Amino acid sequence: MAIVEAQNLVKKFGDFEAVKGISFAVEEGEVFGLLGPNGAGKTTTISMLTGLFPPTSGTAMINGYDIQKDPLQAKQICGLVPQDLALYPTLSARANLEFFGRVYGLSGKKLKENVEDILRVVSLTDRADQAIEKYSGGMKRRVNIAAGLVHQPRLLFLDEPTVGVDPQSRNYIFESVQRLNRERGMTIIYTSHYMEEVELLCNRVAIVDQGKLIALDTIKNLVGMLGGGVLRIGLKQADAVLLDALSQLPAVQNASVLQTVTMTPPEQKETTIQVAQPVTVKVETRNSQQALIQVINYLEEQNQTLLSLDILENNLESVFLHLTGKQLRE
Amino acid sequence: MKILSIVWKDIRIFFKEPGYLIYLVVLPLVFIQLFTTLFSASVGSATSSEKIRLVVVNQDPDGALAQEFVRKLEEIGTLEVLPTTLDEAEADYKDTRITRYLTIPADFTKKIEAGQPAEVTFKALDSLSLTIQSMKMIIEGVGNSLQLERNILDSLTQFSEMQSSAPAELQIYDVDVLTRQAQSQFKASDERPLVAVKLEYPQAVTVAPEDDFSMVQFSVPGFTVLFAFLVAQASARSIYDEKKTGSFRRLLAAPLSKLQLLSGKLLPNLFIVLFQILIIFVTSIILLPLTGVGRLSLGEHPGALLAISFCVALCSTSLGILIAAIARTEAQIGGVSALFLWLMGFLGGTMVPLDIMNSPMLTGISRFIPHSYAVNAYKDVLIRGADLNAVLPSLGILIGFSLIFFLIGLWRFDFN
Ligand SMILES: Nc1ncnc2c1ncn2[C@@H]1O[C@H](COP(=O)(O)OP(=O)(O)OP(=O)(O)O)[C@@H](O)[C@H]1O
Ligand SMILES: [Mg+2]
Repeated sequence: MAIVEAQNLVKKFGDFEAVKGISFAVEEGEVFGLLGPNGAGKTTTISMLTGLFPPTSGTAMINGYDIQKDPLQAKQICGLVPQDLALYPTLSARANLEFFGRVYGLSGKKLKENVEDILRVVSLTDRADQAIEKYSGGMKRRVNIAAGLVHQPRLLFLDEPTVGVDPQSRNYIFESVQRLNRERGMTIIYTSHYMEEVELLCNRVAIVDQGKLIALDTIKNLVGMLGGGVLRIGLKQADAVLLDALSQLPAVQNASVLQTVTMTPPEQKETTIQVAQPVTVKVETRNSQQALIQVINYLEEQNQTLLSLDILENNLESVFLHLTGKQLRE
Repeated sequence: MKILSIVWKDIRIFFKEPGYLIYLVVLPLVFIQLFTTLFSASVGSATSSEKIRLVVVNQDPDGALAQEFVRKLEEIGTLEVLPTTLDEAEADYKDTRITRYLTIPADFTKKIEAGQPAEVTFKALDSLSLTIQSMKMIIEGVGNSLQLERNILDSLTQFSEMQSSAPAELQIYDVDVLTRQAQSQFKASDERPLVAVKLEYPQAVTVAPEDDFSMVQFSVPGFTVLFAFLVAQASARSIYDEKKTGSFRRLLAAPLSKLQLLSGKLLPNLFIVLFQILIIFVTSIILLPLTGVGRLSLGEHPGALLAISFCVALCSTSLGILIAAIARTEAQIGGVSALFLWLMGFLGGTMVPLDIMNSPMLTGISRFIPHSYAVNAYKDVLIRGADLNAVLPSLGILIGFSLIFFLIGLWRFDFN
């Protein structure tokens, strides 16, 4: 049985439909990614799954319980780490964690143990009695995450936990997510608009855009769907004959001239040998390695000089680009 | 249990914020002190050096003991005795030109000399004010001393008679016998007073305080109510802050029913108001006298005060949820609602008593403001000596207001 089942979730805010019928299921033990640009409806979807507000239509089942009909049972196994810092700044980390533990029904020795345990996990035992407002940004983030974990939930919702986080804390969060999943078997639903985070952490990913689910699969399958990446080659000149010949190569899908190099998503892995670029030809491949050899061989035969070469491997970014015609991040 | 942890958390947060403590606990005390001083000054109150006026009707003008009684009243030094006739006193009292007078009956001297108790009548409109209470004690004191002297005089006369008729060898003053005799007289004077003071007062009349009236009894109820209702803003803000920082989402995601969540957010308000009232009252009793503006007297029915305070806390709390439910912006929750609460306080007569303003329109408006019922209930108990039964109607109305605020608040409350 799936631990999370979203069935045709719709959420309207007045006339505006923020989520337009999203369905998916998450199995216990998965790290499930919810990827989408700003305003895609990720937080809204999570809010419906955690019972913050009812969906306009559709149902959300958590561990077999309908979040609308049996909210207390469903909520008991969930932990939520909201996108923004959701803590009491004048209270200490320990007081915050104890409070959130109590709200989930913990008390006495169990509460103490869990709080000490989670303080150790986020390495804040030393400063646990200081008011949170005196913490650094990264430390606040860690407490924010810890607060969703005190009651040791089976299912954790992490809403963009790395927004505005320094690289060190970010790595730290990644490690914690992996550890919680591996060592405690925690199911994690992770939303982000950073595709590399999702690529790194998640088994499966749902891509949402404008309130709709546009893809749902393992990362391997999603990237595989696009084929083998793109080569960008700089040439002194290129004519229709050349492009046609390139397109005919076995590992090449299509070759076309790029007028200007505008769409270089910063996150794509690039290997650049830049000389000059009178013409840039974009070669879409079935397999970038084979295509590269074939293209170079062909150019040598033709006595063409290679001025520059970029190899763009496919990733979720290109999947998103392919599916929506726009980039994940503005 | 879960509710209590929310309550406890909110109370901790409240006490971490020194601004709130100053605003809600210290400020009312400052206001009470200031207004009491100002009001007393403007009405021309007796400061400790001035005398309290007492109109005395002596119907036994030729009686030696009645004369002595009046003389002793003057000798005490705190009273300015103004002799007058019964007709005049009664007329003035009826028109509230005076709010109290003392009558000495015509058979005063005769009765005491015959060893029978005599009764003086002290009529007062503001029967439970500190002034009246202390005046009654002064008059009783004078009565006692008169009687004590009378008794000792009797004993000594008795002694001299005994001595003159005794054999020579026994004609010495036996100190032991004398002391024993005096002591028994002291005891007798305590047990059956020869001069009883009967305090007469009408049930519940509205009366403008006379010059030496203790203004503390007025300013404490007013400012207590004003500031108790200002707590509503603090609890509305607490809800607003939780929503803004998102900790409210955490609470919504937790296995809590909405009722638990709301009660957890509202109960702190109740406790804070009760705490605030307690501090204001205790300080008004203990510390206020040190600043020279008189001491709060709780009157004879502190239980009724407790009941009123509870209803005030309830009403303030439900007003808090109403504000939280309808205020949408930071400005509304902050400045606007504060302004609104202060205005309500003014119209409800918490700052200036409505009777003084004497405006039918303001009195009409005040009927729609819970503050006015709360202030009146407190004043009824503190000034007019009303008991719980007498203030029940006001309490009922306060609970009614609470219910209305709560239901509208619940209806408009946005859990997202
Ligand atoms: N309470 C609300 N009232 C009205 N509109 C809302 C509300 N909450 C969200 N929206 C709208 O719904 C859409 C989806 O918002 P949501 O917060 O779910 O996006 P998101 O995918 O989490 O974005 P981000 O990555 O920026 O956090 C947005 O256009 C947003 O403006
Ligand atoms: Mg979001």
